[in-house]
Amino acid sequence: MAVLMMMQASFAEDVSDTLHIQIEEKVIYCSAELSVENSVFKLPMQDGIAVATEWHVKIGKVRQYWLNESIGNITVMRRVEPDLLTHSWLLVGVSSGISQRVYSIDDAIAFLSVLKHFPVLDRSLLLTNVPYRAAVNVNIHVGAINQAWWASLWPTTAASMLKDFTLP
Amino acid sequence: MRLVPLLMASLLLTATVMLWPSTNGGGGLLAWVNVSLMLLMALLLVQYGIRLLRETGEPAPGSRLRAKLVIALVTMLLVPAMVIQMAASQMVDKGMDVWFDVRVDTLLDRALNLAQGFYERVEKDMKRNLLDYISDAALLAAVTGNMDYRTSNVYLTEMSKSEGWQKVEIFDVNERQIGGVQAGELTALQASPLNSTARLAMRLGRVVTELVMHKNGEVAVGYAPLVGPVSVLGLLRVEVRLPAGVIQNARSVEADYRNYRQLERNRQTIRSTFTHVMLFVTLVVVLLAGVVALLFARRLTAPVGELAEALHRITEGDLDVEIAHSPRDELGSLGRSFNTMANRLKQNVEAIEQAQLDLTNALDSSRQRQYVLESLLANLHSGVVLIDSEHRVRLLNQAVRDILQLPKEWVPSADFAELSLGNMHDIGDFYDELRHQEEDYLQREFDMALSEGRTLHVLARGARLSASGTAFSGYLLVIDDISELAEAQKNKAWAEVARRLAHEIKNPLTPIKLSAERLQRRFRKQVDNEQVFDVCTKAIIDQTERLQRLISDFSTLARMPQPKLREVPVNTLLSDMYELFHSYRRISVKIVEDERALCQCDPDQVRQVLINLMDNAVSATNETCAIRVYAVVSDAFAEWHVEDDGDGIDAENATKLFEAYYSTKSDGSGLGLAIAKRIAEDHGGDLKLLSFAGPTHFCLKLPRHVQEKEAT
Repeated sequence: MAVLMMMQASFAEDVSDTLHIQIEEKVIYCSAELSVENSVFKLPMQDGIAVATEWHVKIGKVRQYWLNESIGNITVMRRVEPDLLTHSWLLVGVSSGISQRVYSIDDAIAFLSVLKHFPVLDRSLLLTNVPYRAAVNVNIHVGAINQAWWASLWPTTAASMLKDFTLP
Repeated sequence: MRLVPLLMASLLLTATVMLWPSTNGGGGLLAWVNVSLMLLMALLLVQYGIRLLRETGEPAPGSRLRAKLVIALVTMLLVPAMVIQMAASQMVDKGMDVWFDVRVDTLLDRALNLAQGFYERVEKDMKRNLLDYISDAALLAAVTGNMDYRTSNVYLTEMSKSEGWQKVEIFDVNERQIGGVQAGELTALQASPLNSTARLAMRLGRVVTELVMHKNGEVAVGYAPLVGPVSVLGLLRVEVRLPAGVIQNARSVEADYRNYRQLERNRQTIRSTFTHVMLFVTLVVVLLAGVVALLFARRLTAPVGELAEALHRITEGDLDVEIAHSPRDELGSLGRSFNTMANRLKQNVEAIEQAQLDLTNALDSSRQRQYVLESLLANLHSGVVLIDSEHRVRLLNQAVRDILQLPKEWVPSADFAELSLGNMHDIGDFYDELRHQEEDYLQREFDMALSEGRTLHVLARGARLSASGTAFSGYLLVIDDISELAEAQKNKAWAEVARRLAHEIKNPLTPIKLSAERLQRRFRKQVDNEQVFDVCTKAIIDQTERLQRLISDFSTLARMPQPKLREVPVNTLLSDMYELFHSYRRISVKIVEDERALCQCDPDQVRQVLINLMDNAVSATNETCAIRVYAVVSDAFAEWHVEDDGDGIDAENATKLFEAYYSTKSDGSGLGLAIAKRIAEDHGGDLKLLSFAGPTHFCLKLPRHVQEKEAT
C-alpha cells in the first residue's frame, strides 16, 4: 500500500481546460473547468476508488522583466468517495469540510472537474489598469493521497490554466 | 583494457536511456533517482576512461591493479544482483498474473453483487412497506391534527412492531414532528430535522430511501410522503438498523473490491515501481560495493604500489629506498623482505663500487706503468724484444725496428723462430743460445749483414725471465747498434797506432834523408857510376819524403785538433774552391742565392774536406767529365755537395770508402776521406756518399748553429 500511495496519475494529455475570471464589486471570482475524459474519473470511481482534485489558484501581478509578484493564492481540494454498496458518491470539500452524498456519477464528476464562481481574492488588493495573471494548477489524485513529505517534491500537475486580466 | 570503463559507461548510458521515465509512467521520484544514479556512475566511468586514454606515461604504481580489483569486485556483485533482479521481476510478473487472475476478479464481482443485493433488498423492502402507508388514514389524521398524541403513538408503535422498523416518525407539511416511536433507548431528546432527501421525498411525493452511517452502525432510512386527497400532508420517516455482522462483511467485501481494483489499475505502475525499487537497491549496493571495493583495493594495493614505486626507484639506481609502512600480513612480510633485499643490494653495490674503484685505480696504475714502460721503450735507443715462453714476440719497440730494419712481419704474437731467418739468423742463433744455456744472462757482439749490403755491428744482451715473481715467463732481448762505437774504437786504435808509428818512424826519417842528401853531395864524385848513385840516393830521399808525408797524415789523424768554430759565409768556402780549381774548365761552382747564409764551423777544416773531395773527383775523372760543386742551406743545416760524372765507385769499395788506410789510388795513404769524415763528425755533422755512380755524389752536412752541434 505504501507503494500505491506513492502513485500519482498524470493526465496532461487528456485536458483542454478553461479558466474565467469574474470581477465583481468586492470579490474576484474564478471559474475553471477541467476538461478530461470521463474515464479519467469514471473508471476509478466505478471501481470504488476515491478520486480527488487539488486546485491551486494563484493571482500575481505581471512584471515584464522579472518574476511575477504574487498577490495571493488559495488551494481547494475536492474528493469523491464512492460507495459501491449503495451506488452513491460522497462529495467531500476537504478544505471546507462539507460533504454531500449524491446518487449520480455525473454529479460526482462535475464536482471534481468544475470550480464554479469560486471566490479567490478581495478586489481591494488589486489596482486598476494593472495587468494581473491568474494561474490555476490542478492535480488529480486517484486513490489515497500520498501524505509523505517527499510527495510534494515531485508533484504531478494534470492541468495548468492561465488568464490575464485587468481591473476595469 | 583502457576501453573497458568507456564500454561500461556506454552500456550504462544505454540502460539509462532505456529506463528513462516517461511522463505518465510509474516510478515517479524513484525513477529519476535511479536515472540520476546511473548517470552519475556513467559520468564517473567516462571520466576514468578518458583519464586512462589520456594517460601517456607509466601509470601510478598500483593504480591498474586497484582499478582491476574494483571492476572485479563490482562485477562480482553486479552480476548476481542483475540475476536476482531479473528473477525477482519474473517472479513479480508471475505473482501479479496469479494475483489478478480472472477467477479472483469474478469472485470479487460476485461478492460485491451479493453485498449490493443485500442493500438493494433492504431498500426495496423498505420502499414496498412504505408505499402501504402513503395514504394511511390514521397517519393522515395524525399529521392533520385529527388524532390525539397518545393514539398516534400507539399506532406508530404497532407499525414499528409489525414492520420491524426501529424508529418511526411522522412530520406535518411544515416539517414539524408530530409523533414518533423508537425501539430501545432514546438517543436524543430533540428530533433531528429533515434533510434534503426527506424534503425531496415530500416535495416530489415519492418514497425515497437512503443509507445513513452512524457511529454504532449503518441505518437504512426511508421517507414516504403522506398524501391526502389533494396534496402531501406530511412525511413518514422510518429507520431500520442494518445487521452489524452483515454490514461488516459487506463493507469488507467493498473494501477488498476497491483495493483489488485499485491494485489492478496500478498493475503496470506497481511493476514499474518494483523494478525501480530493485534497480535503486541494486544501484545503491553497486555504489556502496564500488566505494567499499575502492577502499579495500586502496588498502590492498597501497603496499603493492609502494613496493612497485620502490622497485622503480631501485631500477633507476636509487638504493636508498625503504618501505615505511609494513602491515602485519603477507604484504607486510613482502615489504620487510624487500627492505632486507634492498639493504643487501645496497651493501653489495657499495662493495662492487669500492672494488671497481680499487680496480680502476689499479688499472690506472697499471696503465700508467704500461705507459711509462711504452714511453721508455719508445724513447730507448736500444732495441728491445720480449719473447714469451711459447717463442712468440710479445713486445718490440721502434728502436729495434730501426736498428735491424725489421720487415713488416715482425709484429707482436708472431713466431720468433720463423721471423729470425735470413738476415736475422744471427739474432735467432743468439736466442737459441740463450734458451739452451743454463745461465740466465747472455751477451754477445756480432756483425749482421743487412739489406743493401750494409753491415751492422750489434751488441746483443739476453735475459731469461722466470715465472717465479710474475705470471710472465720468457726472454728479453736487448739489441744495441754499436757500429759507430766500434768504428770509433777502431779509429782510436788506429790513431794510437799512427801516433806510435809517427813517433817511432818520424824521428829516424830526417837523419836518413839528411844522410842521403849528404851522401849525394859528398860522395857523388867518388863513385864509379854516378848515374846509378843518383838514382839510388834520389830513391832514398823520395821514399823518405813519402814516408814523412805518410807520417804527417798519420800524425794529423792521430792528433786531429778540435774545430775552431766561427761564423763563416757558406759562399766563401765555395769561392775558395772556385779559386783553387778554376783552372779546370770542367768544374762548375754554383753560389748559394742567399749570400748572407752563414755556418758556424772551422773554415780551414771544412776547406780541407772540400779540397779532398774535389781532389778525389779531379783525380778519378778524365777531362770530359763534369764536376759540380754547390751548396744547399736550410734553417738548421748547411750542405756542400760534390758531384762528378765519372765512372763511379764500386759497390764493394763504397762500403770501405771512409775507412782509414783504404785507398784505390796507388800513392794514396787512404786517410783523406777518413780524416774528412772525422772533421765532419767533429762538427756534429756527417759526410756521406749519396750515390756511388752516375753521378758520384758526396755530401758534407754540417749544422749551422752551435746548439745543433751540441745536440748532434
